[in-house]
Amino acid sequence: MVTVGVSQDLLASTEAELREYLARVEDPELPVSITELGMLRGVTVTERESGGVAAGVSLVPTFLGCSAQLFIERDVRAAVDALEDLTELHVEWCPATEWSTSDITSVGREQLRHVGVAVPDPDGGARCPHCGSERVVVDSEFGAALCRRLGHCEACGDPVEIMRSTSSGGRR
Amino acid sequence: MPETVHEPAVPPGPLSADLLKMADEELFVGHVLTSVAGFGPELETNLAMSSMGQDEIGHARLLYGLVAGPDGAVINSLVYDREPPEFHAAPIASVYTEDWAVLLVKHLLYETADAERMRLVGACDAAGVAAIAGRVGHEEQFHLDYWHTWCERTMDVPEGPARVQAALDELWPSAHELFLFGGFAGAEVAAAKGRWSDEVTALCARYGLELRDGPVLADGRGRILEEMRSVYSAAPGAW
Repeated sequence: MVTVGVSQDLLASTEAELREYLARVEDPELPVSITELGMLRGVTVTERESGGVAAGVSLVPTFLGCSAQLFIERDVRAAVDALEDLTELHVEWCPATEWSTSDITSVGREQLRHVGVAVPDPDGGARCPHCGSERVVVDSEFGAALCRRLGHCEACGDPVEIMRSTSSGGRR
Repeated sequence: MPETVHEPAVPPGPLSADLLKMADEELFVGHVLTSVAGFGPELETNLAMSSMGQDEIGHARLLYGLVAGPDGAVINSLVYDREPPEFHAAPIASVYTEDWAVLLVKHLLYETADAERMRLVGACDAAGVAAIAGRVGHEEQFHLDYWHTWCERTMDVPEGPARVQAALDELWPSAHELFLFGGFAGAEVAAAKGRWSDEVTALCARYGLELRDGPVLADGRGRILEEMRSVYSAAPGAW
């Protein structure tokens, strides 16, 4: 492919830089980045016909009614603003794409554990973030945020928040 | 950087009117749930009310977006600037109550209807519309589970059956308006309404409840809109 004005190297380095910036955008309610939470679904960096570089960022909400979406979008725009080589940015939410707790990376799971939040295993079980026991029980399907359930650990007695998605159990 | 300009997914017409009606209903249902959060006897009940309310308002926003495009200011205007008669919600959606049995029956009727309505959305040809049905339906399943569980528990206490029957007598005669549509294919709407009616009938048979005719519901949108807009109207133009 022949490019005019913008080199493939610049596109590649801009994308790498963009991903780095996005990886610093945290969920407003949890000290974990949107990348580790599995909310970032796509990054595109292309040359614009009229010159300059355009970027597209696709995000998936944990739940459709999550009010953090507005803040996340604002924070994404603010973070990316520092990228000098970018002339245009499209931020897109993908409401038709499902998000699942299994989209959380292992780094994300570890970061959540540190703040007392458990992430269910694929089989639906969860490990206590405080004592490591598997005896975590769900007390309420609905918790402090749409993406979290209320529970406690039967081994250590501590309350445990458990990440929740439409595919993480709780349904008939 | 320039903002992207999006066109509405669905051009004005019968289908967008149907989606707008569903959005209005989700908004009203969601608002009442968030308003009763705090009245529950235990934390978990209040979390459920506020979470389900937040879900419904989120779905309303998504549906408004299909009609009006993603511009938040345009969506806000639909919510805050329309006159009450310009909302097209079925009266059951605007039932505002602190009575547990009425809240329970309202949501059993509404959520079972909504599951069928999402199948109508999922069968839409218009670009971008059908795609949302799956996720919305999955989220609503939690609500349906919640109200089914509570139906069982409420019917299990001595005063439960009489109170649930009274609530059913109040709400059932008007509930069919949830299927008043002009844009979705008529035969599909009739089939969806039939499946909903069958499901409600089966639920009633299971608990010994009766579906009876009666007076139609008074519309409750006035209280909802006044409450929803109280902060907004306290300082017009400041938002």
